[in-house]
Formats: sequence, C-alpha cells, structure tokens
Amino acid sequence: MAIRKYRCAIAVAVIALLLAPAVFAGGDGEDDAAAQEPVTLRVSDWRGDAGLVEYYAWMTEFEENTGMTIETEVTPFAEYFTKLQTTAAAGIAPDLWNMSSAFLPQIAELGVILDIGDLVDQDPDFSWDDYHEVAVEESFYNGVAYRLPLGLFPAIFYYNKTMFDEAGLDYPNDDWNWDDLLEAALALTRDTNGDGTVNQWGFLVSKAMQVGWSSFVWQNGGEIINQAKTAAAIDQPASIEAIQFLVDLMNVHKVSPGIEAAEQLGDPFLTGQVAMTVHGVWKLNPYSGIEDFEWDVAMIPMQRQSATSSIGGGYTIFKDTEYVSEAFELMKFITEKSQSQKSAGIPAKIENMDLYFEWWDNVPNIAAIGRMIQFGHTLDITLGWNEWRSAAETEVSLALLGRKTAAEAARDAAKAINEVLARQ
Amino acid sequence: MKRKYKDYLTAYAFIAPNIVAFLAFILIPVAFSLYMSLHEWKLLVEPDWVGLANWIRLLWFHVEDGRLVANDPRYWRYLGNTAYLLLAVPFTIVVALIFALLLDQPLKGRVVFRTIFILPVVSSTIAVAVVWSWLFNTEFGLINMGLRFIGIRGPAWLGTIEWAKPAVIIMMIWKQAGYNMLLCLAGLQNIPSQLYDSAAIDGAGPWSRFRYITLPMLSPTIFFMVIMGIIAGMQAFNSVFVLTKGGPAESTTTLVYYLYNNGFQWFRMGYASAVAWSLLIIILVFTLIQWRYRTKWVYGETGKP
Repeated sequence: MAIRKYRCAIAVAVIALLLAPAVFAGGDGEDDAAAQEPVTLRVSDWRGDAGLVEYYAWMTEFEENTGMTIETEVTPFAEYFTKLQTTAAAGIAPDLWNMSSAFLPQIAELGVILDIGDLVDQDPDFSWDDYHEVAVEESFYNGVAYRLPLGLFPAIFYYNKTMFDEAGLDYPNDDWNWDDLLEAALALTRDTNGDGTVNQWGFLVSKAMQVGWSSFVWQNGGEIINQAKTAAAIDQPASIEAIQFLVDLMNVHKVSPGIEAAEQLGDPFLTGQVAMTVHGVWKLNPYSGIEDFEWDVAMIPMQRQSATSSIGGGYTIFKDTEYVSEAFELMKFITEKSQSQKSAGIPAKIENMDLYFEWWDNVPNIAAIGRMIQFGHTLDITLGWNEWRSAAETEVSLALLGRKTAAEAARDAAKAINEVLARQ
Repeated sequence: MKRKYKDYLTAYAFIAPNIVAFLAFILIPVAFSLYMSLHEWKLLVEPDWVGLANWIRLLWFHVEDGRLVANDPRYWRYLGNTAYLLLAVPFTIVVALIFALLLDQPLKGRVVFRTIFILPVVSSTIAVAVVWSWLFNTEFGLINMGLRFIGIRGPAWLGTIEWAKPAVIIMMIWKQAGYNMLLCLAGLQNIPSQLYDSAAIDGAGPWSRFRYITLPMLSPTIFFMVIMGIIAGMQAFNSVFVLTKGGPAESTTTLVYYLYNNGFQWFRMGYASAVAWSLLIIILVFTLIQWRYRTKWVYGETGKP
C-alpha cells in the first residue's frame, strides 16, 4: 500500500504539523514593548463572579477614565497564595493583588510586595487621617505600609428584643458592663416549653478567638499577645480574669448552651436559642432575614474599657511591577469605590459612616457600631497566626468544658503560642 | 521484528498507560513526599533542608523537669484518637454480618432492604455528616429526642469529650455497614449448601452451623473487611472534618486532620509530609502483621503467595 512506502515522510509531516503552532506562537510578545502600547494592569482576586459584580463595573469605569486596560485574574482561594508566590518568583506576577489580613505577614516577609509609604505621602488627595485608626493599623506590617484600607469587620453585640420584652428587661445600652450582661443572661435563661430542660439561653459563649473571647480579654485590659507580637500575653492576670468570666458564664451560671452550639451548622441566635451573642458584623446580612423575632445591636458590654476585634481587607502592589504609579492609581480607585459600596463591613473612611447607617437602617441601633469601631483592636496577625490561634482556642475549649481552670488553660495557651512564634 | 520481541512490546504497550499513571500520580509524588519530609517548606518560599528534624520532632522525646516528655504530644494524642476510631471496624463487620445473614433468607422485599442499606455507602460523606450533626444535636437532635421519650437524658454528643468519638464511630458504622454487608452476602452465597445439609443431618443446631461452617467459610471475606477497614479507618478525615472539626478540644482530631492542618492551615508542608509517611508506615505494619498471621485463621490461605 502507498502508506507503507511513504510512512517515514508521513511521520515527519505529522510531527511538523503538530509543532508548527508552537514555533509560530512564541516570540509574539517581544515585539510589543513599544511606547505606543496601552498600559495593561493585571489584578488578581479570589472572589468569584458573584462577589465581583460591582468590581467589574468599577473596572470598566476606570478603563474609560484612564485608557488603561485592566485584566482581572481569579484564582480560587485554596491556590491563591501559592500562585502568587510562584508567579512572583518568576517575575510575572500580576500588578495588584487582593490581600487578606491573615496572609499579609507571610507575603510581606517574602519581600514581594511594594512599600507604598512614599506613594501615600506624596499623594495630595490621600491622608491616613481620613480613615479609622484600626483600619490604618492593618495596612501596615512591621511599620511598613502595604495596603490601603477597604472596609472593616468588627465584632458587635446582638440581642433578641422579643426575649427581652417577654422577660420585662431593659434593652442593653452603651453603659452595660459584665455585671449587667450576667444579670440579663440569668434572667433570660429559661425553660420555655415546660419539658424540664432549658431551651432558651441567655448568652452564647464560644471558643472562637476572633468573635468569642478576644474582645472580652481586651476589655479587661489584657492582651492575647504582646504589643511587639513576640510573645504571648494571654497568661496575664487581666486576660485570665476575662477568660474566667466566660468560663463561669458557661459552667457556674450556666447561661450558655454547650460548646458545640457555637460550632454547629445553624446559628443559635438566628434560630432563637440564645438571647444575646457577640459576633461579626457580617451577620447583619443573614440576621436581616429574621422574621420570627425582633433583634437589635448594641455595644459589647465593657469592663475596664470598651474593645472589639476588627479585621479588614486591602490590596497590595507587586514589588517588581512595571507600572508602579498606575497600579497605585488603580489601588486608590478601588479603595475609594469600596467606601460607597453597600456591605456588612464598615467603610474604612470615617466620613462614610453615615452611608453605612443608611444601608442598615433596618437595624434601629445601628449607630452603636459607629461608636464601637473607635475601640477596634486588630487581631495581632503574625506569622503562624492560624496555628497559635487554634492552639489557644483548644485550651479555652478545655476550660469551657471544665477540664482546666481558666488560669491553667491560659498558661498552657501561652506556652503553645510562644512555641509557635519561636518556630517562625 | 522477531515475533517474541514484538509480543513483549505489545504487552508493555498495553500496560504502559497504567504504569505511567502509577508513576506520575502515585509513586513519584509519594517518593517526593518522603523527600519533602526532610525539608521545612512553608509553601510560599523555597523548601529548606532540615534533615531529620521533622522526624525527631514528630516521634522522639526530650526531658523536661526531670520527666520524659514527647516532642510532639499532639501527634501521640491524635494517634490515640485515630486508634480509638478504629473501633468502628469490628462493629461495622458485626452489624454487616447480622444484616447479611438476615437478608440471605428468601424474604419478601429483601432487594428493597439491600438497596436501602447500600444507600449510605454511596452518599457523599459530607452530606451524611451534615445530617448526622443535626441528629446529634443536644436539644433538638432526633437521637436525644428519642432517648428523652424513653426517659433517658441524652448526652451532648458533639459537645463533650467523652461522647464525641463514640458519635463519630456511630456515624462511621452507619455509613460503611452496607458495603460490608454486600461483601458478606456474596461470601455467604458462595458457601456450598451441602455443608449445611450434611451438618444438619449430623445433628448440628443453628448456632453450631454458624460457628463451624458460616464463620470459617466467611473468614476470607472477614479478613478482607478487617484489612480494608483498618486502612480506611486510619485515614479518617471527611467525617471528622464536617461533624466535629476535630473538636471538642481536639478529642476527635485524627492523624490525617493533623496532616491537613499542618500542610494547608499552618504552612508546614515538610512536617505534614512526615506525618503522612508515619501514617503510611503504621498502616503498612498493621497490614503486614495481619498478612503474616492470616494462615492461622483464614480459610483457604496456606501461606503460599
């Protein structure tokens, strides 16, 4: 047959056909370095299309205003930081990165993000003073500015108005302290259906550090980790006292459901099992759908001082980007736009607080969040934060389960935290 | 070409895809993992050679205040948790055997029952765990409501250290029994009925028939279920991750959960690789021990490979 005879030639032809695209496709980029080429900025994010709807509208606006082209690359969160690192090492990372607070220390230590301090100082329109202090704090790591503040997500106090009315109690106010909290919790822990077991609880105690007990520690003047972020401070007497208060709420006064209640699927406050809880402002969205009872927010009951945990987002610029000032323009643009986009998080810009009250006017006492944010405390994110946070949470769970005293748990937590910090 | 050479080539060509896949997706990554266990790899930087440091931290001890203390006490605690969860294996086999015996009879609707029992096995573990987390709910869970009905005050299943592991075991038994039941059914149907007939003629009662015919003839199946059950049990992760998130207070954290935390939450890929390899070695030792002693109790195994 003819094929048998010419099979060598056919093989060469097939291989040539397969390799042709590779030969002709390469080398295109090199010719386009001319100054006439419009600026293209690449932005990376992990949020999917659903979370980026307004963002894409902003990008179109920015492109029209400046003539630049914006390419947004979405990578799922699980691979996000690995991809950033590998592309940064290869020098081909995007110009602007969405950067979560939890990863800022690690990425900063790698030396792949830009110090924007000078850019900010030289910019006439931008001033750190326009933004909430705690938001500004989160933009820095080790004294170097990397991000511009987007929004803030503090923890706030939620309470069930209907339960308060039924018990004939006054609503929480700004002067509430821990004694008031305890008193109300005791009055609100009841057996409402007469089956012999308590099914309505006063206050939800959670082992989670961020929304569970960190605010309480800070309110008592304690710390979880010291100012310099080099050693644990959770074994200070003030911190232990705060943890002891929560442990007593659960084990002595019995005003909280068990430790699993805060972890289960299905929010105990949402389902009407607890009268009061501390949680992040991101709960405003799901809670706004509640129809079975009335609820409101208040400042978290204080002790020696008021305090709440706060966390926010931001973007960073790739250190080796070609377009430093353009990327900074885009960063400012996104930051500015975020201040007026409806979100459960507070706009980082102080003057936009009224907008926030408008968005959430379904919550009568929404102004309390405005008062609360002044007492915001960052989560002291360091290298190894995730690891020491879960070690501390395990110790607190043991105290909540009655296996250790708060003092023992705090001491063991301090030991675990120091061990993790030493290993970084 | 010489015919024999061509035959060999054809044979290798047929198994080549499988070998390539095995090398690329199993052998090389596993070997790489062992290599990684000798490094500290924070995922966002280049790996750092640390030699045996990870292994020493994982498995060795040091002296503190005059007492011998483990370098990584959590590792041993989680190993204990994982071993505790292996209790699911014998219970699953017993439950499976009972159901198989019941469904081996020519009952009406037994096909329906077999289908029902196999449904948990083919359901997604995550979905199953979500449902069970509600069943185990202290106040509203169906289990505690049922117990309340008969006058028992049910415990906080997922909220106390004592009951969290039993809760996970119950869920694991429910999930896996159907598959083992199928294996037992197949095994039962392979037992020649003449054995039962001749035993009955010799005057053996039901219990004797079970003990001297059914069990020994089923021993290969049981052997298989034990080995596979232990291998799967030591790797328990999905159920724990959804049901208890390793809690309360790390009482249900298994070795694979520890591996996951180290690798993907705390960016200690090197250490996670060491945990993974230690798990491999433990499972290997378990399996080899069972293999070594199989001739003592498994019917039909003569010790020749």
